[in-house]
Amino acid sequence: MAKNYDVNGNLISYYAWRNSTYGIEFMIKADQLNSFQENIEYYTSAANLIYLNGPPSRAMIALMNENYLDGLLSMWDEALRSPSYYVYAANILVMTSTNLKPNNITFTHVTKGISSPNYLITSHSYSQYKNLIQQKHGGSWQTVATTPQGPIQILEVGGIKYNARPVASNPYYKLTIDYFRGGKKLGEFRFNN
Amino acid sequence: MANVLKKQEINNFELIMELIATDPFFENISDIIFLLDRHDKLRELEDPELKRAVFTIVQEIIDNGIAKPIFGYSPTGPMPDPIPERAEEVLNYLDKYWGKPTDQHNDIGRAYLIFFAKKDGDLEHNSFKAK
Repeated sequence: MAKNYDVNGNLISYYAWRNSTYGIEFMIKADQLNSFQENIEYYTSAANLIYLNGPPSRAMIALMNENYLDGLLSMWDEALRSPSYYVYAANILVMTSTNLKPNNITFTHVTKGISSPNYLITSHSYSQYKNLIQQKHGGSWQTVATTPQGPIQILEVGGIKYNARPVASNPYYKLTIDYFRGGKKLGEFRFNN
Repeated sequence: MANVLKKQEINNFELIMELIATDPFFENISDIIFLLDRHDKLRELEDPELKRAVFTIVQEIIDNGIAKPIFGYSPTGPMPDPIPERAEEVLNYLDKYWGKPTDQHNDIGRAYLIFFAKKDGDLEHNSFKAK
């Protein structure tokens, strides 16, 4: 375990790992070390699931530690009870963050574990984020339906589908990109513009 | 009438309904599947029991006026005419267009077969036809 300080020298979090194969496996907020130790079996289970697809990238670790820490910490209580939720959240983020500088994407976590994770992306517009996904995965957006507000489009990569839709039930976040894996939705990116 | 599960056959049924009623981001069939996966049990996407469980939830939503169904956003389900309103009519529509595993974009088509509007301002009601 190692300590992580902010630019002012304040202890903000701990890194923890089990062996050198995976590198850093856990991020623990400074004041939640006791909670982490008491629930280590849940975190271990979550980490094992994440690593089924290989260790997280350096960008993901940075993602979880910098602008995104507050967002992820809002899920902490949920993660304690449901490791799979943590996996969902981490997986969704890493799918569009890998290979990007971590400060390039900012978001607000707009749900707190009631249903699937919702991320309000504040650094990119709906169109910009679609381009970002396309740049990362290749392929092209395919229009599968049309609406007065614009097309519903899909970009498919293996078992993953991003579904961009300019409509949503919630009137505050019409612009949405759904993230599907294996035919099931895991979460949404929301946009204000 | 479409085949549904009994409420008693769904784990945490009351919790699932409470979450649907209170979550402002609850939108469509994919959210029902997500909640069933998390709070009832994890099923394969093509498991017939999953379809029956979804139908039970949809029936409960409509019968209790929790939300009204919105049609026309699915690439696999056309805009119905007339618009189904009663639960039985809505489930018959769902049953007809639930789709086969081999259908292209069946997963998305199924997820978007119905959106739900809980209050005024949630989506424009059935205002266009899907492509």
